Amino acid sequence: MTKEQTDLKENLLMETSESMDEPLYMDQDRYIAELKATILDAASRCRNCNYCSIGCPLSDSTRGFISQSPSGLMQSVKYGIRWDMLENEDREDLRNLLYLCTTCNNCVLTCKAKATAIPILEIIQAGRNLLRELMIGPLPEQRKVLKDIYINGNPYGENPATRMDWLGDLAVKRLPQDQAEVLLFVGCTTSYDSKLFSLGRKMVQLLDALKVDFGVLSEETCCGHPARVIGDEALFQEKAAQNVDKFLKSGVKTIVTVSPHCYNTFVKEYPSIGQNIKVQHYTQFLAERIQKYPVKWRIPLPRMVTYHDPCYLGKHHRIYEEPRELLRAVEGIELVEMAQSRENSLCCGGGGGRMYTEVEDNPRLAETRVGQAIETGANLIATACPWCHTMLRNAVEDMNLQEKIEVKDIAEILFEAMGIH
Amino acid sequence: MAVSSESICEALERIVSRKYVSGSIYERIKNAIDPFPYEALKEQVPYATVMPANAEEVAEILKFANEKKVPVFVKGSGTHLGGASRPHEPGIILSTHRLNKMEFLEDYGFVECGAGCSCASVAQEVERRGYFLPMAPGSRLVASMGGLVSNNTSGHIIDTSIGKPGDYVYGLEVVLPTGEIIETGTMGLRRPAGTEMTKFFVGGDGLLGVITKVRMRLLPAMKRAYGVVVFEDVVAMARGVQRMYVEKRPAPLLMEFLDRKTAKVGYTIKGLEPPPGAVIFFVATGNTHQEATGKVEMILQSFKAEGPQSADLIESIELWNKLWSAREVIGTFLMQEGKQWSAAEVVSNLKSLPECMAEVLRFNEGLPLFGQLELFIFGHIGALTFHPGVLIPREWDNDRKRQAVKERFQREAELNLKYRTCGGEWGQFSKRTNFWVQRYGQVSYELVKKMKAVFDPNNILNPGILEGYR
Repeated sequence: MTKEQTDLKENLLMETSESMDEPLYMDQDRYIAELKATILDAASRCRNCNYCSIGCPLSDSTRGFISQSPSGLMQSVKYGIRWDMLENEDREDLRNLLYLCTTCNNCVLTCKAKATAIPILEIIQAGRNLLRELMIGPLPEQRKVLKDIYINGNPYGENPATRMDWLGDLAVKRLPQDQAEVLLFVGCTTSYDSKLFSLGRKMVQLLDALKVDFGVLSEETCCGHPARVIGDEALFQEKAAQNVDKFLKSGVKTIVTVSPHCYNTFVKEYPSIGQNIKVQHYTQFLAERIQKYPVKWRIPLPRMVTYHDPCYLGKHHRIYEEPRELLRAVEGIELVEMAQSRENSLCCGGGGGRMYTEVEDNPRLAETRVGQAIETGANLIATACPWCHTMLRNAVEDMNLQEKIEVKDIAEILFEAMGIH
Repeated sequence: MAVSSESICEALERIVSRKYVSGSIYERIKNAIDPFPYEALKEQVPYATVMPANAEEVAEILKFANEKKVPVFVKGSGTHLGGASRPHEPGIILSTHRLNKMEFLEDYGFVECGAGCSCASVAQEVERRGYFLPMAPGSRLVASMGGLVSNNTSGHIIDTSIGKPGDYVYGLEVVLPTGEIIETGTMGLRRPAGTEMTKFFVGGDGLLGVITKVRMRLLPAMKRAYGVVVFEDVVAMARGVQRMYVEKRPAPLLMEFLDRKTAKVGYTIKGLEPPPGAVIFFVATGNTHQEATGKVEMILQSFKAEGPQSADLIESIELWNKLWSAREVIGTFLMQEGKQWSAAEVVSNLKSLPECMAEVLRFNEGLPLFGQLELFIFGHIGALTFHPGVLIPREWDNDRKRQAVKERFQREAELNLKYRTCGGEWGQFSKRTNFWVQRYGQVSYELVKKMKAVFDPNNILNPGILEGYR
């Protein structure tokens, strides 16, 4: 964005919250035309076989209307464009459909394996970008998220000055003022959700115990993923530019993320950093580290554990084994699989901007997932994503199952097993 | 009441819970398209989609539709390859999605399932319990049981081996187009002799009633063995199949054919050395592995008499799985450039199989549009069925696509008339009524129309499938 655009946007933001609806591109007509062309081209390759509905959490969790399947979303936005309906009285119908998607990637994998390999998520994303440009999207609750990211650098509207409060009295290097080999990118949810503060702290202590030379950014900001999936490409690009600059200035060789969403963003959507800095999700980093420098597990954990694959690790990056290797390494843990696991894993429902809005009927996806976990006989759900953690924990509480099962991040489990104090 | 989307939704919401009725334009559009390669037409967009939970709600919807003379189109997964799942005029889409209960009555020897259960989910559970049923349409991952039974299609499974799904349907729950609910068949293992209403609806093309529940006999699973043959000369290959039947070999469970070009695509994707000719894969079954293997060897003998490049028993299940998956990925791969597959269903009689094979190789010759496109041939040769097909460019406009598809149906009809056969997978009337009239005569056609009129006096149910009838 040019300075003029930034200034204009800032001024608009200061006036009213609705001003977030203002288009952010200089050549908006061209951008809209490009989005429409992308959608029409890709969607015209869909042969309506409906295979993409197999395993789609929406098709499974909603009432079964076919427009809510991945192919349905694609065809809807295609005909919205082709029949010139984007801005008519049905515009909110289309918006509500497109923002249902959790972006779990199941449909993309299925279409590639069984049908015509359409980049379905790219079409849904382009559809959201288009609706955002036309001031139809996102959903009302998500507009605040965009504003909060823009103003505060996080989707929760929290004061950026309190971003490091989760650390408490723990000492950790601050980059770029300090030097370190590894940057731990904590992410907004772990930084601001008080129920996840201990996850952040345990992660820090775990890395310390494993003698990793690491630090955190002294001024960490959102990776931009929520802005992108909600459809605000300009805001995403702005956050990306800020982060790339900070990463390069930090001088680190490796970035380790707590969240699979940040990981996905840095790996897939910040193409320039991959050439200079290795990016890993913490489960990958720890699995490598522990294999290289075996650790002493001081506290046996005799528990039956089932692992919930976060979509942005599993279905997006096929990282299935490293989290399981970490769990299997802990003495006492009996790892059991849910009926749906790995590439068939059921989404928790938090992706695609749905963390910020209630979009589905009961039972929620996370509740269905907890039910699957209970069926295994496990008393602990392990996961490796702050959003999955939050969604599943809330589901356990809503279902009054706290006595039967709890939710922990793998980092918390490793922390316990290593007997770190 | 003037008919509009709003008024229809309002009425339907008095029958089923409001959350199972949709008047969303986008839901309606998605229900106006199917796997055919042409675009939705505004004049065919339905008024509403409704998802009844049971036969009683289906009955009320049909009564309402009769009262208001509004067409009802029953929709399972919408994968029909003959256009039966695309409404031809505005109406109500009756989705079977919620008719999805599955119950195993093993002490009776049956599985009962709702019309909305997917074939895959039923087959998976059937197999998990040690049974098997002939249900393998290409769309089995999503195809619904209601659609499967209405078409009576077994897909890959060869009729002469264990028959079609209809051979295992021992009873149905059906809602008549006028809204009455009937039960057909028996809870016993002996089929009714004489008049048996089940037969009106199994393979009934959705003309006479809405199937809401299906009862099927459970067939114990058999052991399997596998074979593959490769021929340079496909006509000799066809003679091998002919010989298999004439020499009284046991019919295989399935026997697939790929022409050399098509096989090369699948083999290459799966990292296998492409075969030097056209390929047949087949599966034989038996109570023991030895019995199944013996059957494969007997079948191979028939092929060996026709001079194949190779004819082998496949002993490695891994190799079989690779070969089978090579066959499965072909359509997927070919369509990944965005073209849409359009194939015919040519069925030979046994005596004419070599001649039919030679004609299928020239299937698109002389066709103005279909003939412009490269022909790929595969099929279920054990069932004497070929699917010569082409990839229709997505850039073609609707009229061109329709014309190409029409040419395909015409050529298919010519061949099936010549061999006095008919399609065995995709139903008889949708897009094929002209053929049907030629094949079975005007008298038979008039009888079907009279039957339709008796069951469905207002032509409410799935109008358009029985072409020429209003």
